[in-house]
Amino acid sequence: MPSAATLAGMGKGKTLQLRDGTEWEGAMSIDVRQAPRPGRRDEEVDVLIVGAGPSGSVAAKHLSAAGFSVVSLEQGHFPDRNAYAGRRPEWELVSQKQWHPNPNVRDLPRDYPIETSESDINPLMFAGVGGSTTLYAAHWTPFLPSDFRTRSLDGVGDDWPFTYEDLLPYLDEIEREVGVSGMPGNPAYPPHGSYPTPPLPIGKIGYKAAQGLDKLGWHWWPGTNAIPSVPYNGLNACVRRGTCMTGCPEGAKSTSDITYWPHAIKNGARLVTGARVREIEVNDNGFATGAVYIDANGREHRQRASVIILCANGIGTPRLLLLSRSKRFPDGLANGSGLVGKRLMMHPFSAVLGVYEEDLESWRGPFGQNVDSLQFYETDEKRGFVRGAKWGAFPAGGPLGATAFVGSKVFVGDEANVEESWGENLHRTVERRFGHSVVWGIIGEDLPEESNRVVLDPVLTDSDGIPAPKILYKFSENSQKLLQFHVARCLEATKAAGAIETLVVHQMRDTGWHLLGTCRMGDSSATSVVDQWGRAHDVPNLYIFDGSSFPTSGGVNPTATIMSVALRQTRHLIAERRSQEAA
Amino acid sequence: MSETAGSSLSAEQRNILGSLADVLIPAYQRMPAASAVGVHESLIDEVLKHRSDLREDLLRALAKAKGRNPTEAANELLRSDAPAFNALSLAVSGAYYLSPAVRKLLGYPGQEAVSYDPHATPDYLTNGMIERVLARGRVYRPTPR
Ligand SMILES: Cc1cc2nc3c(=O)[nH]c(=O)nc-3n(C[C@H](O)[C@H](O)[C@H](O)COP(=O)(O)OP(=O)(O)OC[C@H]3O[C@@H](n4cnc5c(N)ncnc54)[C@H](O)[C@@H]3O)c2cc1C
Ligand code: SF4
Repeated sequence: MPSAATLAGMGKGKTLQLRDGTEWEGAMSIDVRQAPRPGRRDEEVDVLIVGAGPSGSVAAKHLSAAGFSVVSLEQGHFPDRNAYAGRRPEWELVSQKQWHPNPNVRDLPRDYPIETSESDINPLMFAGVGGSTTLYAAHWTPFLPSDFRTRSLDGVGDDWPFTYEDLLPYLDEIEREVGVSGMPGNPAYPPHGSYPTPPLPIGKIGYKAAQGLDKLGWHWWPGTNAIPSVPYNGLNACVRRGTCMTGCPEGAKSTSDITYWPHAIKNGARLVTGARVREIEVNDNGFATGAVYIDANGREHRQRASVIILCANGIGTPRLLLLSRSKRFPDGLANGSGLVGKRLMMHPFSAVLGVYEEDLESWRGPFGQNVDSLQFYETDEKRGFVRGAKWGAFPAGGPLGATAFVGSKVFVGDEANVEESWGENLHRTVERRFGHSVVWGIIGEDLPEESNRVVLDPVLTDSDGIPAPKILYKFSENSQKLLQFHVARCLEATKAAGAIETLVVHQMRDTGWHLLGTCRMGDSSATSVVDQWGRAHDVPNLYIFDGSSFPTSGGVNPTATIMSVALRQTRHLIAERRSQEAA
Repeated sequence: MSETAGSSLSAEQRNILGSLADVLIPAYQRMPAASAVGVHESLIDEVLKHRSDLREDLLRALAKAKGRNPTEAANELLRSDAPAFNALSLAVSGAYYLSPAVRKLLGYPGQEAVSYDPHATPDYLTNGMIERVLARGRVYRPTPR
């Protein structure tokens, strides 16, 4: 371990001159938000955070509250609620392009492109304060106890360095900050307290979805969502507009631009947007010293910091580490194990559309989960695969939603001639499906495999000329069997509820919404990138707090767990500040 | 057919679009044909305003359909130029379902806000549905600490 000064005084006793309100500072090219306080933009700060999505926002708020000086660099911008199309008639049309979750489809300069020709799944994400949750569906589904113990229980993946129970206090705290709505008592989880806001109405589609499960005697529960049903922590109450996955125009879906950043900025944290980090720099002793970033006008800047935390998601974080090659770290920063970028997990996904005789008003929101089912979540070896999946029931959207799901046209047959899907048949399809459909989304657990990975593409670059990531990813045999089994059960449930038509999209391509595992945590520097507190084994003042650090993926939407882990790691960093080494 | 500058389509392009649109969306029972609600008029302009990315492929579709039987032309596009067909069909259906008259006939108010009482007791709590879930007991696998 190289010698270094410790940071005994980091963040301690600092006098922050706080004033209410937000200030926009300086250059046209960078938006800087912070409560005014002494210090220049190029000063060394205690903590630099890359990425202002949920994980980075948790760290920024809690570190700044503990008195640390914090700068957050985010390549995207601060969201403007009025830009979201949900209230406007063209909403469905723009959701297939400008608001599509795949950055390659959106093709905006703030996103980086991703080479996906060798991937079975397209990764999905969004660049901006709030990160990918700008477009998320806000399904709030913490990992289950078995998710932390897959090796012991099922002989696959790896056990986590901590347990469900260890994480629970952090989850409780995060749920209060996020403003989760839900019905307590779900028997799919160990006993858990109540949620900060009452459950959202499950709507006619929720009842329809639940009806099939009820008939079959299978588990279902009213959806738990990161969408409050009453005003909460700066969020408005959800009005069921149902456009959550293209940004909530009501300010009701919980995203960190609303729930975290106002607090962080008040605490003195500085948020620099339009700032794309291209490298983490290190000194001769192997400590990280800061980041080089490029502003929206292409100008290069340097931000120095004692501690650096990467929160750029399961693709952005390994990309940045691989970009940060140096003499000392020729294979990329913190990559002594060779695992940076490897074990990418994105959750194989299938969807089942059920069409019913009754009018279900199936364009109404929330476009979170109206009900979910964890009936087949746990391993049953008789099924011929291990681990399981979560089902979440969605509405189907407007008339274009009769053939599309989340911006992609998927519910169509083979179109040999125009008349099959168009002409009078289009009218019949829309008449039958519009307002009458429920979509079950099936999220399967992805097992970690080193061959599924993020590398740097030799040719493709982002708008600043920085090498773009390339994804190498294949559906495993376990994933295929798992999805086949779940789709078959889901069709049974859909039919039990009385569906007059069912359609399946198998292993849908545009579904890489969960980006996990590419810098896994563990005890050994030979087999993991970070330790159980998110600290890089090879670089003592470099941390990773996003889902890259997950040893396994669970079979549920991960943001509740990502934020809880980020809070756990943040608290540890605060508690250990006296022994934290820095350059 | 000469390309028109800016966002506006020429009268000829609109005519071709109208006839192709009626192949894709003809009149059927209570629903009007695409051209009857003005898909090739103000609605296509509205679509292209929001989806300028469709323009190039759409104009190619119109050029290829010029002077041809619209049903044959649409099928030919589907077989030989998928991007042009996809742009045409999305632009036409997107325009059609923007029409207030069509939305009214479908009973689609758009993604409107609705009020509800968050403190009301949901039916599933009183009709036995949740009780049955709870009676079946836990479905998670507890783990040793
Ligand atoms: C369409 C969609 C639907 C989803 N639905 C759900 C759901 O229902 N429930 C759920 O739990 N999860 C859902 N997710 C996943 C959820 O959004 C993510 O788990 C969550 O956002 C991860 O948080 P994060 O902070 O780790 O990363 P992100 O939110 O991805 O944030 C990373 C941030 O880092 C920034 N960044 C990256 N590289 C750089 C760089 N070099 N320089 C500067 N900034 C950089 C990015 O711009 C981004 O803002 C969904 C995701 C998508 C895309
Ligand atoms: S359903 Fe609720 S959260 Fe979703 S867009 Fe509408 S108001 Fe926002």
